[in-house]
Amino acid sequence: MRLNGGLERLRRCASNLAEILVSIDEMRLVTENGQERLGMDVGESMTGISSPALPSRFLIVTLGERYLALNAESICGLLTLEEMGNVEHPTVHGMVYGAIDLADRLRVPNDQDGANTRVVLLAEREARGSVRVTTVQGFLEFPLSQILPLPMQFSGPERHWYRGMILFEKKHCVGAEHSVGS
Amino acid sequence: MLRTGQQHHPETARQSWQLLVFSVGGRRLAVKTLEVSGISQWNESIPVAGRTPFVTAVVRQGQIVLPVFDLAASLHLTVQGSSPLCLRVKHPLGKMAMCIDEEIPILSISRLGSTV
Repeated sequence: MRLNGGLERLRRCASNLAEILVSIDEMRLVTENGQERLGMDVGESMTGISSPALPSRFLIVTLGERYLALNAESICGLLTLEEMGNVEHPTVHGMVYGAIDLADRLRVPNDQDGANTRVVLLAEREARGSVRVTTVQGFLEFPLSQILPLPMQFSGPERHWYRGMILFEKKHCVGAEHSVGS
Repeated sequence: MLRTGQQHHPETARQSWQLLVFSVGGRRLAVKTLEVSGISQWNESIPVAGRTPFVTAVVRQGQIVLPVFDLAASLHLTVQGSSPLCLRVKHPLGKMAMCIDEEIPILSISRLGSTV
C-alpha cells in the first residue's frame, strides 16, 4: 500500500529531534486492537521482513512529548482531522482503520485535537488500525540492525509495544520530501 | 567527583564495606561501591512510556542507553539542586541510572553493619 497521495508532503526532520527514538511494534499494536489476526501470531516480528542491514524508513512522530518511530512499511496513509471527518474510525477506499488509543495505552498525555494532529493509518497484512499523533516530524532511515532492544528493566507490557530504541545522531538526519512508498 | 568521608582502616577491611553515600531529596542513602559503575552530571533523560513502576525513561551515554530508575519518586522525594548527578549502578539485568542530588557523594566505610 502507498501513502495516500496529495495528503501532504512531509518535511525534512527537525534537527532538534530527541537523540533516542522509540520504535513501535506496529504489528502488535494493530493486531492487539481487536483486528483479525489472520493466523499470524502477534509475537511474530515484522522486522524479519526486511534485511537488518538495509536501511528501513521510519516515520517519526510525537505523542505528547514522546518521540516514536513507525516503520514506513506499515503505514498506508496520513490524514488530517479535517480529512478524517467527524468519525471515530477512519475509512479509506472502503477500508476501516479502527482507532487505536495509543496515548491511553502508553499513558501519555496527548493533544489529540491540536492543529498539528495527524492520524496515521497502519496496516499489517489484513489487519488495520489508525493512531492519532500529536505531530509528524518526517522520515528517517535506519538499518533495522540499529534498533537496540529495550533494556530488560522495562519489565511491563511495554516490552510488547516497542521494537526497541534507535540512537539518533543528528548528522544522520535525512530529508523526506517525498511520500512513503514512492 | 568523590570525597572521602573517613580515613581507611586496613585492619577492618575484611569485615567492612566501602560505601558511597549520596543524597536524594536531602535524604542520605548509601550503596556499596562495588555496585557503582560511575557518577557523572545528569543529562536530560528521554521518557519512555511504560508501566514498569519507576522505570519511565532512559539516558544515553555515547552508544549506550541506560534505563532510569526514578529513585526520588519511589521515595516520594524530589531531587535537589540545579545540577543533579547521575549515579550509575550495577543491576542483575544491566546497568541503571538514577538521578541524585547535586551534593557530591562521599566514600565511607561500613563495619559490622554500622557505618563509620
